[in-house]
Amino acid sequence: MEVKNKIERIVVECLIILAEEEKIKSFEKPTSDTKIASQVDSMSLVALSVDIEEKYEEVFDKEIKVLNESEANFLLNFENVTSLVEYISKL
Amino acid sequence: MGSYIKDVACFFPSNVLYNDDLQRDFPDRNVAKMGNKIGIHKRYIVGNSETALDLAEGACNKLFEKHDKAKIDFIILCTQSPDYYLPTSACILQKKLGLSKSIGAFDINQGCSGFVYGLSIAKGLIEASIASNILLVMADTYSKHINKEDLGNRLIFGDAATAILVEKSNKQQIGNFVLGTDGNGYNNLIVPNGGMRCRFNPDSEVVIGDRNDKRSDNDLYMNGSEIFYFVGKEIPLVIDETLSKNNLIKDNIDFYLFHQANEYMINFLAKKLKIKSERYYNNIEDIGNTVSSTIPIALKRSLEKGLIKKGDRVMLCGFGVGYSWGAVIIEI
Repeated sequence: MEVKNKIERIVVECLIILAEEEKIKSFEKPTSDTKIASQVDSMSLVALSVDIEEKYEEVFDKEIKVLNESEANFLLNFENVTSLVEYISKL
Repeated sequence: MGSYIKDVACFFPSNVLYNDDLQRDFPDRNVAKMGNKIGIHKRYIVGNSETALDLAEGACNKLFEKHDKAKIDFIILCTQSPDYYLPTSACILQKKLGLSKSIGAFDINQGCSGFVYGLSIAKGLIEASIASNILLVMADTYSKHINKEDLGNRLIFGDAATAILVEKSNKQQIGNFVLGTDGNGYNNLIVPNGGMRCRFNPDSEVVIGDRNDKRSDNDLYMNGSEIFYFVGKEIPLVIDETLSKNNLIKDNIDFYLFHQANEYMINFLAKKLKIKSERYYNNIEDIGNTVSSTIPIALKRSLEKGLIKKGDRVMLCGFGVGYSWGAVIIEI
């Protein structure tokens, strides 16, 4: 649980950064239900992924790849905050 | 013995393609929104009978308005849109420009890293006393590779050529290079048909991509997300390595000129590298991504606008198709 909480904090922090940079209102105060993939284009999704990977490495001292387009239905991982946290926790 | 970039000349075709023109071709897409995201609002496109070699000739003639072409003793031409498989475009350029027969000339096939690669070769030729006055030419017409129904790529790419004079000098103003390659990404930016492995096929099936862009294997394919991901992960490391190889730190660099892929990507890269907005340059709004010419065009415009001045240290970094990348620090 502790790990998932930390991951959620990372995702939320990165969404808030993206909200500031790209004026995405729904990311200003993200909750576990906040939708992600439907709110951004592919470039923003890559930017978010790279930001999350960097913060994850800082916190957990481990490299991960969040955005993996070779996976079938990879966008489902980005459906909302909960699905993304769940996905990252399994990497 | 050293070398330096003496001058740069830029040349664009006369046809202009505005985002409004594309909106007319794609009434169901929000072209303005896409254009704003990547920071490109117009680009120059060659006519049907115009080629990269024609643009190269135009750029060189502009350069020779101020410099003596009789001094040129080597041509390096970088293009991924040559007139022929063989001979090289550089040989034809020698004839078109009326240059001496006692010069070396060859093409290099690189894309967005091409200027840095070409500069590294030019520096090497000068250091080896093989040449002293090198005509380094970048010329690309990606528009000829792009399917007319592929809005994403038509928005991004523009055609252009640049001619750069690299000369021998007493002081070394071109620093140590970092060059890199990762062929694992070869199929993320590719024209699959037309070479020897898969010949051009007029019956190649037209496929519709994720964003309704259409293309066949005769056309340019770009997986923008994968390329962006590669840039976001790899290029900050390349910048650090280049600083280290030149015994410098970030604060020693006065200005950064990245390959002008698109504005969003450049801004993201600058954020990752913690580079303030006044120390890097976005200049593709009116020309698009001109592939190998983006860095020399940005260099020329930065000088003209006074963003960089004599004595400044400038980091040049190109990256893209291959994957291939290169970086170097020059002194103006």
